[in-house]
Amino acid sequence: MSSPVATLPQAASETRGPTMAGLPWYCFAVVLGAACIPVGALWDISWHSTIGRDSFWNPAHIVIYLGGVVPGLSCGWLVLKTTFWGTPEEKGRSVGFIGFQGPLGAWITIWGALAMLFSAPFDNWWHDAYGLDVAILSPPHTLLAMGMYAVATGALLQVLSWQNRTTARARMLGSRLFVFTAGVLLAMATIIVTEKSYPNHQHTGLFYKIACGIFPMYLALVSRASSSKWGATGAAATYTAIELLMLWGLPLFHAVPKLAPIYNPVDHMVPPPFPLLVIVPAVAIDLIMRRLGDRKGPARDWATSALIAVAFLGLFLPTQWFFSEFMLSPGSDNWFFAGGNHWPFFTRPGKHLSQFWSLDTDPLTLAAVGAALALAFVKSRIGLALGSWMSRVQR
Amino acid sequence: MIPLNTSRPQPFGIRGFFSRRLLALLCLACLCVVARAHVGNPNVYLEAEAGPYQARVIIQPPPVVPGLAQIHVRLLRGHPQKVAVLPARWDTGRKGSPPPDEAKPVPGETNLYTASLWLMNSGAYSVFVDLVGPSKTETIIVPLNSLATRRLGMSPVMGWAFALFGAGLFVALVVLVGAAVRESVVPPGEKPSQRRRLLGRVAMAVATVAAGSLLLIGRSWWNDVDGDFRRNKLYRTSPLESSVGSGADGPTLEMKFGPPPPRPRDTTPLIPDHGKIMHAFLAREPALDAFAHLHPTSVGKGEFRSLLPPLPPGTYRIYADVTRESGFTETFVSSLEMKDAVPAANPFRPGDADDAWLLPEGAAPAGDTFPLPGGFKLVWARPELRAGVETVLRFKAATAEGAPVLLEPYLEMYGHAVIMREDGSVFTHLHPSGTYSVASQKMFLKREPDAASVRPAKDVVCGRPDEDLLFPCEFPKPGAYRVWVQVKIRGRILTAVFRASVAEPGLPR
Repeated sequence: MSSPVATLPQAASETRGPTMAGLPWYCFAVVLGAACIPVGALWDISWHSTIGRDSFWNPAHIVIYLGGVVPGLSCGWLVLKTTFWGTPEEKGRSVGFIGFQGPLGAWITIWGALAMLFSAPFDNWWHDAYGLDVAILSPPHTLLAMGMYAVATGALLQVLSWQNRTTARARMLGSRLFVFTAGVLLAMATIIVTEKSYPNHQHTGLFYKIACGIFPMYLALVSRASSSKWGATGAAATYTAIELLMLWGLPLFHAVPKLAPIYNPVDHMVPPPFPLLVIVPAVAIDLIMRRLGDRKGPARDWATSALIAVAFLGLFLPTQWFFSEFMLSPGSDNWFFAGGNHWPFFTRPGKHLSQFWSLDTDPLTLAAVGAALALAFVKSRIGLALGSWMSRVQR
Repeated sequence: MIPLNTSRPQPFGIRGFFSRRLLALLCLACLCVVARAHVGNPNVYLEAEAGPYQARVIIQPPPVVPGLAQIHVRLLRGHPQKVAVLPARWDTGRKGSPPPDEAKPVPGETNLYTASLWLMNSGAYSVFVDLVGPSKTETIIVPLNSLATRRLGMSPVMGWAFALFGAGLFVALVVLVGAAVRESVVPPGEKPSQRRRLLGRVAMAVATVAAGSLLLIGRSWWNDVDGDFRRNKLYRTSPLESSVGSGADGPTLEMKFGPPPPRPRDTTPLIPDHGKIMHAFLAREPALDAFAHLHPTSVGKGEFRSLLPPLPPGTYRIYADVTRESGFTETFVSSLEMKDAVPAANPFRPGDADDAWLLPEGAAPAGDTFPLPGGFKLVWARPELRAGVETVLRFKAATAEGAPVLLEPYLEMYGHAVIMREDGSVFTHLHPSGTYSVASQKMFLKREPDAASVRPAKDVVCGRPDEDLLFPCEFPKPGAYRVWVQVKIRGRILTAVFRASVAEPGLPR
């Protein structure tokens, strides 16, 4: 429940002084914490692909835990402070939950941290029951991913609510932080579907359905909610930067497998595959939103969604189609693209690694393109709706 | 002795609280065919001499794959500078394995080392145990099967804890969605309007449906994973049908394999173990008063045949051991209904010269001494037997007067033993060198390019003819057991049988 105080002006403390100082400390804490999640997750996947042997306290896990613990504790403290020692202004911009008060984003972050915590014993039991998983997707991992998403979404909302309440000058920093956090979310979304987005899958229908099911929503959302004109591009650039950081950074470290059987004897940390070129349709989406997206309204949003869907698939499909051909060619076998270097030690080497997969069972047909387009349309519309809501979030 | 804390029965059935009865039924169906080399007794024992060392290696394979195997190395002679262990899959060998791990000394023990190793795939593995000395490293190869052998239930406490926490997350999610719609866009300090409150309630209803749908999807996914585990990962043998046939030389044991389960599956050809392609052990139910160790031969694809010795009628439990080229070993379980006694030809010529059997008139186990034909006896120095605890079964062959008798090799060994729980749930075929397959060990040895450095240690593999017959092993669970021991004295294969009562771990017998 909201505090029954009168309407308050924008908090002076949020608008005064240099922009960096104006941003509340917890915004930095939750955003940096959230950024730990994709970095830790990519590192962890690399660890499993390179070394194999795992422990609760391996460095990659610790980075992931930081991504839950730092935002979770920060938001927990924020809720306690707002509830028991908060000023009327702070209580006025909070949301009530079972007698406690705190920003909506803080509540979502706390929920995410608890889900991450709960997923740990669940995952442990899962390993005991079905064996240590070598797949990314499993029910406990999905719960963990939901928790991670919630942490990052909570961070996003906290930055947004601050951005939406503050002055135009300070707004720029909030907008940048928001775009960065959206990029973090985008990176997390792509990690979950890593196994279905190898270059070898990029001539199948499923890959483009997955891409259309994920990216248009994020890109439309961030483009609308951000006060930056290049919100979607910025988010896609952040995602690309995180992936490239890991792609170029991880192989610098020597490591060898510690599990048998070793079919692919690697001698360095295995990098993730080259990032998807989402930045290409992201630029187009920002351009569309600059022309059409600012003027809101249901009919206009439906039309904008259709345009975003066509632009996304129209650019993403040919880009990725031809780029994947290059990625499977010997030309990509270098440090920059890591074309053939991302395979784990337990992958049997062979010609199939440089071939497209599932072309006989799931070719990219017109029907598949139609389904992907429909998905992109619906998800774009959802993204615009969420973006509209986010641009109005005050608490 | 190491309390190995082995595969105790898991609380069964509450995989979540979703589909208890369905799971129970499915598991009951699986129970008939879930088996492995050595039924109900997954731990592998191997005792070997290697250079100046003698060691007993005990491996507890994980119940699911990938999983952690526990390896214990007990030095019986010699003190290497370091003990290192390494798992290798049959198709990659040591070449496709990481550097070995050092086994750590167990605190409080002077000669025991232990390590945990991950087994990542199903199939035939071996563990290389390196005994590193000042000038030379001696290696012992221990073959084992890497298999998922059980489904883990969820304890009620854990089930309720998960349910409560999950319900808490569910409710919190719904309430948060309501709060987001009701208050998030209301300017600071203002109360939400009546319309926003109404919208908040609607959002909560929608969130309840959406989160509930997600839960249902999650349940379905979990069931799919569980079904895939049962169908494709939980190890099962092919069904084996046994019947009595009629051959030119008399009644025969006819064995026919049914279609193999889809996965996990090893399709490498069978290889002889102790010179025989199959070792079939028959015990008459329920008294276990007639026993036979036969060696059926292949007579067609998936079909085996053996001449039956003069056994009495009844229902026989059959365990058939085979070894594959990969090193994978399997024990098939079957049942044979024998309506009529097998007529005893005079003289009876067994189908295989190494076939041996024990008839009811000679199979009354009593005490620790079993009288053998020809004026011999086999004496068991019976230890206290506790479930899941490393033990050594020590037997001595002697004349009726107690003079020692020289044993002769029988199937490349100086003794063979079979441990069977009276209810049939445990079956182990073992030798003085342990419970592993010798043929499997030979295959791993053969595949190693640096095999010269690995010693098969023949004298230990075959036991010692002039000393007591020792069988390192373990009884996996408490209960009444039967132990058959087979030796060869003066050209004749003799079988003795003993009763064994195994106590709960940690309790006196």
